[in-house]
Amino acid sequence: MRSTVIFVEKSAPATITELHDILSNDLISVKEKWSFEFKTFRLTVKNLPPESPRLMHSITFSHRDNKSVIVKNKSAIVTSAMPGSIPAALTLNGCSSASCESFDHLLTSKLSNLWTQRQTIKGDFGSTYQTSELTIRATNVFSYGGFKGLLIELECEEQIPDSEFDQRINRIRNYLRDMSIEDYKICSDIMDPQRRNFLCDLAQQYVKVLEL
Amino acid sequence: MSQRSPSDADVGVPSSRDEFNFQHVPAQALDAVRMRFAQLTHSLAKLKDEMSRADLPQWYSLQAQVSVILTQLQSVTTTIHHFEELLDSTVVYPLANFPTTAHEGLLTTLLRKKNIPETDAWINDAKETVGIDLNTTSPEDVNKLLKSDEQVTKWALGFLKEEHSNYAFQGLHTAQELSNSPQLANYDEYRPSTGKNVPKKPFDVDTVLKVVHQGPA
Amino acid sequence: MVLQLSLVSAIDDESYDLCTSTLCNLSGNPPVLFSHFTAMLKPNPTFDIEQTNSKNQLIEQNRLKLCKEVPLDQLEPDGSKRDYEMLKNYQDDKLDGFNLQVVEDMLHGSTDLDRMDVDEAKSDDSWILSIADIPAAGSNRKVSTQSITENTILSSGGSSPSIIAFLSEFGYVPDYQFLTLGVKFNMNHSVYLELSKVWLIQGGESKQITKGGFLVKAFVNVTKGTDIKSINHGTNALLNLQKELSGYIDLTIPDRKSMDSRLENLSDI
Repeated sequence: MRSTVIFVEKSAPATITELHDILSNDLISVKEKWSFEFKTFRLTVKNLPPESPRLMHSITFSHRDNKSVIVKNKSAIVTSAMPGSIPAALTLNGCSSASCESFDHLLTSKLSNLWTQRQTIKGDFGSTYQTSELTIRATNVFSYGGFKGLLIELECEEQIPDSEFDQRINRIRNYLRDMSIEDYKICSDIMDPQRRNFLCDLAQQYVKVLEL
Repeated sequence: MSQRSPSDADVGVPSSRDEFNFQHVPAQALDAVRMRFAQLTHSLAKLKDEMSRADLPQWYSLQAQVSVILTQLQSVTTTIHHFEELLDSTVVYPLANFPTTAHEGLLTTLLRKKNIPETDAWINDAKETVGIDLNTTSPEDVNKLLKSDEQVTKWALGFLKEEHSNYAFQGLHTAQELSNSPQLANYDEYRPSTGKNVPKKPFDVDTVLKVVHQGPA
Repeated sequence: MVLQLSLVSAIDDESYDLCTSTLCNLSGNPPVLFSHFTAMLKPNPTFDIEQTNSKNQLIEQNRLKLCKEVPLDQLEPDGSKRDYEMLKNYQDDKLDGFNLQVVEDMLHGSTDLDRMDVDEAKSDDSWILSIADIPAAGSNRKVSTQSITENTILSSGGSSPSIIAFLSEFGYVPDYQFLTLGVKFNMNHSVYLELSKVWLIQGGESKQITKGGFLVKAFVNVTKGTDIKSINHGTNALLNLQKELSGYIDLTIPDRKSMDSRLENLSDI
């Protein structure tokens, strides 16, 4: 499984419709609506060395069982607030009381002396397109009600060589060029090629393109 | 029970009232003993009858009857004990106008002081069962044996009491009982058992909790 | 936020057999063997952390609790022997037959290259992360009431995928660790009763802090802290159990200060 995230800041709310049109020839199906929420937190500790990163991001994906990924400085965890997602072994052994909250809630309610929330970026009611090569998710991104740009998430569920994946991404990039979109951020990074974690890598790609 | 004079001496002598003073007959004592014996014999007869039937009565009914008989026996002994002095000093004799020839059988029965052979058989039987030869055992030893018997009884009672205290018998109802009569749940008569088998606390709970929540000191 | 209502007590090792069979009969359910490993973390002591947040609210530094199941096959390979009787073998400091390296690996990621899992979303890398408040104050309380905020961590990723690596970025460092082994009874009315033994784990050594007996904890979890009806229901259920067991196991309210995980709990409210 590989993924790439593209963020087009210089776009209009209608750009997503253009994208739909240009993808239409390749579409197998149009799938479910999706959304994400991207939050930035800042470490409030005063005596940190100047070079150490202070920002931490939490991204919640509606289309991935509402899982959230928290990323800070190339280190990430996948969390869930869905009661059904707690592994049975944890509940049966008395680790969990079988009710759980989001990591964001833990931060804002219990650890706000350490972490302060800075901004929230949301993508609501996005579209999902299925082509023979990729699953393409596109959504308009808003921050506090203001339009920020167009975000495109490309996912390939097949196990294919990296070169093949890059080719498929390039075909999408060519479509963007056809739409005269040249200026955008794109990220396909993998945090650690030895130990891949799809969701963590995807979150890191979101962070890279959305970090302002 | 009728209120007629219980004195055995007036049997068959209706005309002798004027000459004989019945005031000294211990009527009250005799009647009390007689009544208690009547109850006891009735109970024993009933039990004997039930035991001889083809299907035995329920164990709890037997137990209830035995406990009634024991109470009645107790009552007989206390009554006899109560009137002991009076009855001991009372001597029975026939009046001169008693028709001795006509009622010889009755008279000998009434005046008999020895146990009837049946009673002797019972007593011997009981002695044999106990396993003590009274001819060879000294009274001290008999006393000792009685004492030890009492001790065993005492121990058994104490043991029963202790076992009883290990369980709670009251205030527990089955779901069916509760659904049949919901008022049972309204008042609480549950008493926890006062048994001695309670666990000891080998450590202080708060100290353990403190280590769990705050780490080793 | 879960509200945990609880009462505690203790029993000695000798009473374990009778106690388990009593509770088994009382609950109508067989005991369930459980075991978990807990790592407590504290804020990085080199950090200068404010006691207030941006809204100037007082937020005291509190420990984080990481909790994870310990596979019982690590303790007893023979599945047929894995029942409540097994606990009788653990009366000492030593956790016989248990390799403490397993818990180290769970925290820091496996150091054994052969077992290093390259697959995505390692299934055995999930943890429960929670923060517990000090139990509510008040002299007329009948049970201990503690609110716990809980989150499920399913996996960790990144350049050094371990839960500890992430949390050190997050500002928390390991404080102390312990392992709990016990049996749980599902009593009626969603009351659970646990008999457990606890070992502190430090530098590859284990030390039992419940030596001579078992910690007894009866509790009810109320999912919503505002659900007064469920709280009352849970409280009554606990009090009924307390009454039922009175004279045998005397369940009492623990000292709230002993259940305080805050770092500087000198200034109690």
